[in-house]
Amino acid sequence: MLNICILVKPVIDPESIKWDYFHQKFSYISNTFNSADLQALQWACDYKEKKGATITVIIAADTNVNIESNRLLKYRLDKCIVIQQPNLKKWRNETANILANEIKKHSFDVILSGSVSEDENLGVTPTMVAELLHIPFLTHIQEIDIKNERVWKVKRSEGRGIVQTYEVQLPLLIGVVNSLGRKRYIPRYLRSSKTQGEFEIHKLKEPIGKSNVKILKVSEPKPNIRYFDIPDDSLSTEQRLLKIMGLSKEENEQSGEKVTPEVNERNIHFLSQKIQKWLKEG
Amino acid sequence: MEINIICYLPLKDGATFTEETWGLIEQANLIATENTRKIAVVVHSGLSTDALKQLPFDEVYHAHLDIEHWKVADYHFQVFRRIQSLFNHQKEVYLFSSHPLYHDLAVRVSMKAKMPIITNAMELTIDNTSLSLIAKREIYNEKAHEFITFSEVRQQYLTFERSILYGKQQFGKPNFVQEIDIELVNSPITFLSESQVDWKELKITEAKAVIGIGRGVHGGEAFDSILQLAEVLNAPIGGSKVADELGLIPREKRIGASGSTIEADIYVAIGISGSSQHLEGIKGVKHVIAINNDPSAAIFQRCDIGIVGDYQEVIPELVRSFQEERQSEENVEYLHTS
Repeated sequence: MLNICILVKPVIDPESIKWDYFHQKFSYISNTFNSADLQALQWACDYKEKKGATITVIIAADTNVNIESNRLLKYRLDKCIVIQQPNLKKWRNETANILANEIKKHSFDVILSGSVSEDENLGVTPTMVAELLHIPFLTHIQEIDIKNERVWKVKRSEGRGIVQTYEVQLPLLIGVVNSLGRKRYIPRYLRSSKTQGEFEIHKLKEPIGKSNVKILKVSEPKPNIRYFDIPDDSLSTEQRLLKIMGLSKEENEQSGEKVTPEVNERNIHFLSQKIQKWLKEG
Repeated sequence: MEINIICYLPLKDGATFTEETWGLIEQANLIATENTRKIAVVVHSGLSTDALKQLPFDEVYHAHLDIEHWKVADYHFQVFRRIQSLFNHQKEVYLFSSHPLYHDLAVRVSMKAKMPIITNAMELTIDNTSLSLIAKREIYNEKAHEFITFSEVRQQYLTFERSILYGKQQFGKPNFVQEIDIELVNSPITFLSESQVDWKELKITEAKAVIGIGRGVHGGEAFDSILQLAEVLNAPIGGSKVADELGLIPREKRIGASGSTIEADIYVAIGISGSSQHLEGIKGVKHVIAINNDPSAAIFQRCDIGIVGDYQEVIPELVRSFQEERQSEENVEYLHTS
């Protein structure tokens, strides 16, 4: 029976973030867990249901972050370990050290986590944990096939529809992407039922020294400004409105050289050649 | 103090330079000063020495890996560590692409060297007073920007978002080009194969070419030809809000402000008028081809090529043209091999 470890990161829900122009800072409403991490957890729970496994979730979080433990314990996990440290956000690479130190105390066959977190978009923790544990790793995994308990086949999404297949030997760390599976809706009757698994909290002290990287500022994304034609004053209100909406009937305005008004062999050839050229460019 | 800027050049399938390669070189040029030495590290699976001798760097270190090894970051790590041991370890800035292969490598080498890394940079500038590098990054699902810098350290590692790595080919004459031989230690990770996902499974947000359908397609008889075009281009079919409401496409294939935003290279809009909400969803597309029988459709203002005509006439012709082209290519291949 496999011993599976899942690394879950509590994050600010990006959906709830907004830029406060008055105070020139971000405000947010809710916390959540990194969605790719939950995909990994869901996958492990599905595996456990079919073949049996022990699932341990390890969370490294800032002391100020409120962990919604109940939300995690609804999954069929066996143990959840939360390690809290003050000002963790300031220490960029410290999360990996905390997680690796905790993992060393246990023995796991496979460690799963999301490849990148939605909040900081760094994508460094899984790789660093693997390096600290001296185990191989693969990130951006979108499919896992189990050949046998020690040899797995995984598919890595390279983007642009290209998928690479690898054969890997356990022990191993796998970073997954959101498309690993569908997150399952947990029914209401299960939500109200008693949660399973143990829940442990360890508190650490803030390390001494200074971080190697410094965040200078966080700002709102600058808007993309687009310039449109300003309609002529001589047009009637209705015509001006239609023009702004791009529904003007003035054919000569829309159909420049790039738009052909007829379908003929020459145009079709030009189009197919262009598409092929653009496809090759990518 | 002399600074080394070391670029780990990204390649396509280990054998060709791409816009991404030249884009990384342009980023290196942006931060280079008179006291900078530019070094290229090229781990490839079949580049000619001539191509390496024309790279715009002061020094080029290169190593050859079989394609099966080239696809595994573990082997890149072994080669990189060997090449890194040749540097004199003064102040060094390492630049990588954020392609999964290079990203994994960059994080691992920075970790091994116990040096900091800034990943997924969108822009790199130099602070005029402290002369330190400032990287701009997107955080919180692109809802915010973060400006970050390194503390005083000997080695700085950076990976760049692939979307900003775009440049034109450049030429130069390196002072020396050195090949590195290395005995590889077997990795527990084996590369098996690479495949292109079929258009039916491909997501509209990940595809290179996407077909979009709208109200103009509803009730048409030539829907089969759109499916054929999708197969020829390996392009998933998405559509406008109206197409979703008419039941032509599933909800998750809707493109626009109320659906997905796509960043394909090619978008073929069939029977789509181009509402502002739909145009918002295709703002990241490189080339738009519009087919619509209404010459006043707003999509023609956004398109690169537009055809005013009936799609039932255009699409079968386009598919035939592609098929003829494929056939002739196959014939040429046959002649070469036989």
